Amino acid sequence: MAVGAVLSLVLLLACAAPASAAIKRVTVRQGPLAVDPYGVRFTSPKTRAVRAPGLDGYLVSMHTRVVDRRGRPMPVRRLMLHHIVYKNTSRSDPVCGGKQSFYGTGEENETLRFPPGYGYRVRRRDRWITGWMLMNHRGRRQVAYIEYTARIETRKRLRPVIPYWARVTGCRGARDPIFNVPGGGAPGSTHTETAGWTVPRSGRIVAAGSHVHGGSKEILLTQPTCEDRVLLTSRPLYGRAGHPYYNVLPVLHEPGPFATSWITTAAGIPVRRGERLRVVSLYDGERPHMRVMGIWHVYLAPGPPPANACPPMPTDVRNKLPAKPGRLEAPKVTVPLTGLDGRGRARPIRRPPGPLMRAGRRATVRVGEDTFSVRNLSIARGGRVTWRFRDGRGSHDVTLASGPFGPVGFASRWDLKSRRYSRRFDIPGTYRLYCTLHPIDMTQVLEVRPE
Amino acid sequence: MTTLAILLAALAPAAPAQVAVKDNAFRPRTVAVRAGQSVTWRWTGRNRHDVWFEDGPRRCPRKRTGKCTRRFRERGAFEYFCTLHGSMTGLVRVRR
Repeated sequence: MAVGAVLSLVLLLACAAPASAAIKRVTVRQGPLAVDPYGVRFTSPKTRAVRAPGLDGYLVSMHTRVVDRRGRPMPVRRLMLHHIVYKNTSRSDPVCGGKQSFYGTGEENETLRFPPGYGYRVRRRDRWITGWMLMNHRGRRQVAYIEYTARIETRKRLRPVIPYWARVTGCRGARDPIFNVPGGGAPGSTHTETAGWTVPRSGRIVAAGSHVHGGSKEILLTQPTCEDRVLLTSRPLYGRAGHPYYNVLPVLHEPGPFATSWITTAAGIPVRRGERLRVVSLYDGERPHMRVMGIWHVYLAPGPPPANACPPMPTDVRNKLPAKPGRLEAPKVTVPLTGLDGRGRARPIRRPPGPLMRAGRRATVRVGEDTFSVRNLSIARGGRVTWRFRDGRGSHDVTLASGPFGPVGFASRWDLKSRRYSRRFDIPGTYRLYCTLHPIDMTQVLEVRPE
Repeated sequence: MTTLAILLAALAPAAPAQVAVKDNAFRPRTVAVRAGQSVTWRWTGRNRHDVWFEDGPRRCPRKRTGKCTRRFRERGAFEYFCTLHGSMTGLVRVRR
């Protein structure tokens, strides 16, 4: 296991370090967390807290997994940790506001680690909170715990790093930093999403990782003032056809990579406070990819600004993917609509049961009570559909399911402030739609007539 | 479970089988009756629901409260759905 390898690497480092070093291992469980059948569960104010290590020192590595009551790893076919972010409530994010995120992972199963000599400062009185999403792929309620293991240097002083989350969606919608790839491009084409990122502090980037979703080709951090040279590249690694991510049924989302490359450099990549870098997130442009992300986790060791504008890149940059079999290209995965048969077994459906509502050029769908008020809708080409979110009892979104691919990818946010989402449909065809938070209850088929 | 339900149905042929219409599930999901018997659905949740047969008796319309009884004359397995909630499915088994 790559995780095992990384942990043993840390142990080796601990042994190789001077006698004054003392690395303590802390494992903390969060839960129990119950997730309803085929349900998606988010953090709530009640479940976001997690016990911090309660130590003074420097975090040198961290990893998170989902376990059952007895501490055994939970297989993804039962419960999948779609993503988790750990935040330190005693520090704030100077770029987008809110608390400081310092470790994030998800399907990519990222392990936080720094080059030797660096660490994230933790204090005894620190309080940690989390933001996560769990997906249950079973017809029975699942109960699990989210468990982190942190290694903390408690004796030796290390060079502190500051974590920054550089999102391709900028600061807008930091709670749900998604964008959508419409698809429809030529085979092999690329969808590019970019955003500027202003370096908040001078110093050197010594570690970086990324969070991307299925369909991602890579994510870059470039320096436009230096002929747009690439400072960081993180590549996703997708499982082979036999990987559990592609064998979890029902398919409720497009699986993400099982790893993204992790970058370390002890020498560091020099950056200057106030300079404008670019986050470039590249996705497959042929097929639609909904609710995807492009986020850099950048760890910066503060220091003096570089002497000149475009200093040379360090020579010790390591960009590592786990040595596991996988695919560098995103596999083509279709996400069908899923329904249940009379016995409660999940199966792909062509459309939800019930009557068809035939509308002209305008239609309104009420979203609430865990449903779309119209689940089989037909409108004329060029018509407009408005989804009105009237439910005070839960969050919902409207998202294109991708199977078969097309006609065009889109998704609403789930934290809509305007309480409505409206879209004009110029491309005829069958749009299979669902709420990603209620993937079984809330499905809908929209037929756009070619007339 | 199913055997027990059949047994109970056989013992009390006149009483309709009961199904609770909850948010968002039919409980029990499967009921067994004899041909000619009825099933009563009782609304117990807050959301609107209906009972929709692809092939079987007349549907029970969308509502929030109340009940709805349908009689099953022919034997077979009848799948039904709530057309508002995809996780609400059920089955009525009718035997001779």
